Order: sequence, then C-alpha cells, then structure tokens
Amino acid sequence: MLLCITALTASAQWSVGVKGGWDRTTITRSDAGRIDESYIGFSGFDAGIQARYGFTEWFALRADLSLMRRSYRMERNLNYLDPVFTNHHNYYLMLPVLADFSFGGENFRGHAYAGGYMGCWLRERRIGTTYWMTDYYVYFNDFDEVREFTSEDNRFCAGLVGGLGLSYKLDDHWGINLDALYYYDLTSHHRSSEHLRDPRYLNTLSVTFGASYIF
Amino acid sequence: MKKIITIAVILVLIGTSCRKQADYMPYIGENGELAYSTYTEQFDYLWKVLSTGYVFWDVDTTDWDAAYNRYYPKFQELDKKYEQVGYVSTDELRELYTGLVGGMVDHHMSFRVRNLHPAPDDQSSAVYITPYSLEIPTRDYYFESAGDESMGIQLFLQNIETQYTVEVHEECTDYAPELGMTIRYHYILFKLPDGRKIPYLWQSSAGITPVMLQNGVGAQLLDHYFRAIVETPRNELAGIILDNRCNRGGYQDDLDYLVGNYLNERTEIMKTRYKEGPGRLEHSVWTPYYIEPNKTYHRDITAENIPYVVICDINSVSMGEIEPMTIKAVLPTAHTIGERTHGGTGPLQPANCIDLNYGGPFGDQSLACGHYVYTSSFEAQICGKVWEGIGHTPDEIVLRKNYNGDFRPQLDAAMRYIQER
Repeated sequence: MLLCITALTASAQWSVGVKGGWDRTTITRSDAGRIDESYIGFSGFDAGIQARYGFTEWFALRADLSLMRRSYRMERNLNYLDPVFTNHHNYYLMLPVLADFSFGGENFRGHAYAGGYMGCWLRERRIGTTYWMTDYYVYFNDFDEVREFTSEDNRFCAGLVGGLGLSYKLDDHWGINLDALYYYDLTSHHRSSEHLRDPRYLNTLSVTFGASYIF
Repeated sequence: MKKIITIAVILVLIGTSCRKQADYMPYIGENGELAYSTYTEQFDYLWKVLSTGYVFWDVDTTDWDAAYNRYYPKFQELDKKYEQVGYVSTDELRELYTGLVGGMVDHHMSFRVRNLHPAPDDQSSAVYITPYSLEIPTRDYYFESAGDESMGIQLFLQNIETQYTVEVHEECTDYAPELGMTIRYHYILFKLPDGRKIPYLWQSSAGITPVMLQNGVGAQLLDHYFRAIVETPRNELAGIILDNRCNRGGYQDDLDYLVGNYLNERTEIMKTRYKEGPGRLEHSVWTPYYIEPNKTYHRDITAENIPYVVICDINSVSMGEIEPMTIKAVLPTAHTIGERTHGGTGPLQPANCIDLNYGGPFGDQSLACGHYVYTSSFEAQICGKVWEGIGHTPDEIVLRKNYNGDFRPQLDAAMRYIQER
C-alpha cells in the first residue's frame, strides 16, 4: 500500500495553462409540429484555462473553465420567406471535469478523455433577417440583438464530454496539447410545459490548442 | 484500451437514454380530416395548438398548464357521458370551452369547434366563443352599438345646426374582395363660421388600399377627401378629421395613406413579432414597420401645424384602432377623441397563409377538421407597449354612453378642438 502511494506521489504532476480554438454546435430538437424551418450547425469558439493533475503516468484528472460560443442557425424554407434566418449565438461558461487516460512516449502522448460538465448560459445574441407582412407586401429586416432571457430558458446546463487529444512536452516545464472534445448536453436549454414536452439539446464539438506550465 | 472503449460506450448509452423525448405536437397547418375522435382528444389537440401557436403568451395572464389540469378530467367526463347516453349537448361543451378560452386576451379571437356527438335537440353542433364579447360588455362605458354609423351621420346631417355647415357630402359603398366585405364611406367637407374648412372621413372598415386599387366609386370619394386636405390653402384649412367609430378593421397598408400622406421621411410606426417556434415565449425579434412618405397626397401637416383629429370608440377594432394609435404616435399635430377602443391590436395573416409561422388562424372554417380558431398572427407594439385587450385611450374622453349612444357629441368635441386650437 505504502509503495503504491509512494509511486502515485512520485509521478503526481500539476500543470496549468490556457487553451483556445474552434467549435461547432448542432441542436437536437423534435420535428413534431414543425412548420418549414430547419436547424443547422454553426461554428463558434472555445477559450479558457485548463488544469491537469497527473496521478500516474497514464491517468490524470483535468478541469477546464471555458467560455464557449455554442451557435446554431435557423433557416426558413418557404419559398417567399427563404431570406429569413437566425444565427443563435449562445455564450456559455463551461466547467468540464475529465478523466484523462494517456498513452505513448515520454514527450509525445495520446489522450482519451471522458467526463462530465456543468455550464451556465450567459447570453444569447441573435443575428439574422426577419420579416413582416402586410396584406400586399412582405418586408425583410436585418437584426442583431441580445435576446432577453425568458422563464422558458434553462440557463443551467450539464452533460457528458469525451474526446481525444495529443500532447507534446517541449521541456521540463512547458507542454502543448491539441484536443477534440464532444460536449453532449443532458439538460434541455428550453423549459417546456409538463403537458407538451419539447426539449432542445446542444451538441458541441470543440477543437482547441493549449499550452501549459508543468510544475 | 478495451476498458476505455467499454466505458466510453456505456457513457454514450447512458447519455442517449438520459435525453427526454418530445411529446406529440400537432402541426398548425393541419386542416383536413378530424385529428381526434373523442372530446378529450379534441381538447388535448386544441390546447396544444394554442400552446404552441398563440402569440400573446407574454401578456396573457391565463395559466395554460393549470387550465389543462383543470379541464382534462372534465372532458374525460364528457367522453364517459357520451358512452352512456350517446350524445353530449352543445351547451355543455360550450360551457367547458368558454371556461378554457373565454378569458384570453386576444381580442381578435374567435374559437369554433364542432360538437362530435350533438344531442338530438341541439340547434347547432358548433360551439362559437369570442373572448372579447365576454370582456367588452364589462367595461363601464360600454354601450350597445348599431354597428354602422351611416344612420347616425344621416340623422346628424338632417339636424345640423348653424355652428358649422356642410359644403360637400358624398357617401358610397364599395367592396374589398380580399376582406370579403362591403365598405361604406362618408366624406363631408365642413365649413366653420369663420369660413375655414374641415375635410372629414368616416369609414366602416379599413379598406382604402383595395378600394383605391379597384378605382371605383370608393376611390373617387377617397380622392376627394385626400385632395381636399392637400389642395385647400392653409388659411382655409382648419384641420382634418378621420372618424373611425365602429370601424371593423382591415388593411395595414391603409397606413400608407392615413399616416404616409403626412410624412416627410421613412418613419417607424410600430413593431411586430411572431411565434418563431412552438415554445410559448419563442418569439421572433421585434421587427420595425416603416411607412414611406406617400407623394400622391402629400402634405406636411406637422410643418404647417394642421390639427389631425381621429375619433374612435369602443367599437373601433383592429386597424380601426391601430390607425388612431399610430397616427397619434407619429404625427405631432394628431389628437384623438372618443373612448377606449376594442383592444384587438394583433395583426393577422391572410387566410391562405396558415403555416407562415407558428401563430395565426388554424383549422378550417367549415369545421371539417373539427375546429377553426381565428387568432392573431403577430403581436404589435406601439410606443413600446403591447396594447392587446387594452386598445387606444384617446387624448380626450367623450363617452357615447353618456349621450345614449348619440353620434354627435364626439364629433362636436373634434370640431371644438380644431376651432380652439
């Protein structure tokens, strides 16, 4: 037992760094009752800090604090309303906690991540084109606004996250890493009626480049 | 590595199963055959479509979830009753649906459902509920209206006193095909004792745009009214009157004339938004509605300080009240007189655009699919507020109730305002 603890302590290692990159979000929501609109994925960004504590050579825990823009796009398909669209840019503060299983050589290693996350929906900016119709005319109008949250918005999110990564140790104190993480919400960002459930889930693939200081 | 893959697969399976599935949600454009076979299913269907398609959930105080909990068992009782006796009386069905929708704020709404199994002695198998007709009579200034001011105008002209005279009086009836209704107009050119003139127009509905396009008798009369405003020299023009009493509404594009004639530049008159998704508060952005200056009958009444008086009453509905509201909001010389209007301010789509967005009328008028609900497609905001169920409160209150519904006192107030200004 003592040997085991000694071995763990010997390889324990803190690293703290920053990360930034691109993400792409899609929305999972029901088609039931839908008129003609479609929802498609949209790109965003992921920037934050990362902290890693290595227990052994192959196992570590990692926690990030990220500001993520998780965007998706709504498009209307009805022929004379097809200029109408909305890009929903949702800004989230995310806290993923990951088990980090690594493999490979001393400097260049591969990583497999699995874990969970919590997050807070900070803001939604929506940009697009909307319409207004009188009896004889259809008018289109561009907009760019920060949407006010309503009682139907669930601003807390939680879910599962997993992915793969590569890391390279530059020297004794510095390392870089490239990670692809997939965030899978288990909470709906829309609160619907108990008699008419209509959950909407976000899914985000994030690809980030990071640099860390190894203590 | 195998363990890692196994853990990952387990996590994905857990995750997938943790996401909840959506309930069945009816498509608002369904208007074919009956989508339900029992009273409970009918209630459930209509509750759901109104949940997703009603545009006023942000201002309506009805607790729609509580209504479901309250009425679902009552409709189940109806089904049991049908199984026992073979019918349900239309009155009984009406009572339940009145409880469900009778307090809704949409003052355009008419709610019609077919009684699936009417009683043998029922006069009708259709339930017809208009929430506004339950609310309007409760107002303390309510009066029973004839619904058409033509008779009042005729009586007024026969008994006109000397303080102002009638130089011109034209009346006509024209037809707005899309509205499917006739529109009556009275154009009067009043002359004050000091010789100044006041062009006056009463319109039974808001149909200037189609009437002008048809270029018939109505267009001729309207041309005379607008030309009198444009061509009368300033020292001979005391003011303008638009009389929207008992105006049943109609075309938004009429604002191109009633506001646009007097603008010098593109001006935002209101904002609208629609239901962009099935969530009750899932609205589009507020979209500005701009009016361009109408050069055909243009006069800068603001620069010339010409008073523009709009008369409205409790029976000014929809565009009949949006006109005084927007005229007042945009034109500095505007003044409104009368009483608080009906409160049906949410614009509607044309009938053939049933699935243009999540709101608006749904079902079919023949009740072949079992229902037809006429409800606003858009929510309108004027001067930063949604006035649905409230209507326009005029600058100067003159209540017809206090004069046994007489046509004249509100017009007298308009004349007095113009002369004293």
